[in-house]
Amino acid sequence: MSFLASLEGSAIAVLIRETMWTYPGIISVHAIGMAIVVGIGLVFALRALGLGGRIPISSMDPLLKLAWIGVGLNVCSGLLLFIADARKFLTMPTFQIKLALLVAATIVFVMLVRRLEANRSGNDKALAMISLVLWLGAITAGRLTAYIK
Amino acid sequence: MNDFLTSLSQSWLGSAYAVAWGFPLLETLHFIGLCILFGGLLIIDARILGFARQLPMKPAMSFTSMAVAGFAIAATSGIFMFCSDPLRYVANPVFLAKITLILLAGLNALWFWFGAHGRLASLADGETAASNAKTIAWASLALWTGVIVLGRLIPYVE
Repeated sequence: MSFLASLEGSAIAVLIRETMWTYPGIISVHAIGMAIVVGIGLVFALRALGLGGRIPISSMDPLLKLAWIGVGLNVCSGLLLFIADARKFLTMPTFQIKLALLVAATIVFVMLVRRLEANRSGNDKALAMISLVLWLGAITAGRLTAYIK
Repeated sequence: MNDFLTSLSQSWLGSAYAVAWGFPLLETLHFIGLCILFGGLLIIDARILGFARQLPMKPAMSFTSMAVAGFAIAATSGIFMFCSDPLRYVANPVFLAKITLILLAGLNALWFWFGAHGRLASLADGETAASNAKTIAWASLALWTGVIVLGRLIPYVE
């Protein structure tokens, strides 16, 4: 815990907590990143479920690049939000659940894209549904971190 | 006006705070709706702007239904959130700015549907979209990004 405390005491954590517009600014970036990552995650899931069925997966490649940019945006903004209140977040069950869901959602997303690219369409729909549920679950857990102490 | 808003908050539409977990649930739905909306926009705008040039435009258009569904979820949850405390929202300049951007985004969507959609449907794979379509695509990305930012800032300006 002393490492987390020293994180919270660092100059950057103090800046994030105590400068008027820093925290809302980072939260806004985090919301944009979420919209990009989950939005594209849902686009691939819906494509696997049959929406826009004639779209070749290879033509969706640029969206994957965009999704990874969104992931980078949210890892950075998320880390900044985390170090501002490291001890609080790390002990919150909803935060732990959110992180676990995000890791799972990312892994399932990569699996889904690989399946679609290989065109082995057997289990795509089941995997797409799992992907969908994981993304929506991560958003739910993330929102609840603001309410459950 | 204030009487109307007060009566709204006392009607069933304004009952979010009276229900356990009502408001967090609405916020969660609002976020889910915004992600669905933004995803639908991104695939269409990425094609129009040439970022995903090889994407076939016509089947990509079916993702407008995704965007519309996301908007419906966000708008419905948003109306309930508004009605739970309308006087607080109408006094919030960031909320008013957000609503303005949503109205502009709505006009932009009408321009897309009536002024660009028909011609876009016949766009060949790899072909560059018309410049008015590109303007619409940039505007939709800019306006909705602005809506997300302003929405997130509402609780900080009171």
